Amino acid sequence: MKNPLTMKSWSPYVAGIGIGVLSWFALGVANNPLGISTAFEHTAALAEKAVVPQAEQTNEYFAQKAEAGKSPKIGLGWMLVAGVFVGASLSSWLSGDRSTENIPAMWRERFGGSAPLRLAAAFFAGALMMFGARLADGCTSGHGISGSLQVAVSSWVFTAVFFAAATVTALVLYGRTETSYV
Amino acid sequence: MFDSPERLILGLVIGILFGILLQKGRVAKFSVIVGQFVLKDWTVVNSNRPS
Repeated sequence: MKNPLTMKSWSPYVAGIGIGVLSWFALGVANNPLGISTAFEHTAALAEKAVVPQAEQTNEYFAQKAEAGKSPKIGLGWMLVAGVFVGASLSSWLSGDRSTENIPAMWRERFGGSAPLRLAAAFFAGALMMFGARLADGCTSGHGISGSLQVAVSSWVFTAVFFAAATVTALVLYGRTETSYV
Repeated sequence: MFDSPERLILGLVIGILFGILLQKGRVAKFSVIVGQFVLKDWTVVNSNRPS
């Protein structure tokens, strides 16, 4: 049998079941849901505190988080994000499935071949996504995976709205193109 | 400021497994993500169905 780690991809069902089981483990053993965006919030808060030490007193955020026992820290969730980077890099490296393109064909056809435009759009879109994720107190991992499988109403609402908004955005930006890039 | 070393390592291990699953599930790819939202590639929905 071929080493699964050197395969380019697994069945989405296998990957999905794996994520589900890993999610049980994360909640059951580590008492921490699979989530990504909280670590970004904590990093931003810690950076703010490092640059402006009095922010801890003047910014209500820190008091609210301390009261909830969720003060920003380099914790398990933060290392989880670092691990995702390591694991995904390792997986793509072992399977030789690494993308070096700055500009996907689909983007190029619609918006042209300018790398700065593509990178700037990706940067601002990423910032917008992060703003939305923290406004919702979770992202596609925290709400979409961890919250949904705990049958949290907020997560089901988030996932439905996020999917609808993303579909409308993508269809407006790209249209339902005839060319298949997938 | 920091969790205990055990929890940091546990987080790293869970993250590495999560990263491998996301990469093998192809849900970290531009073409898959955007393909899903222009309703052409259903990998994302399929990989979330069991959970």
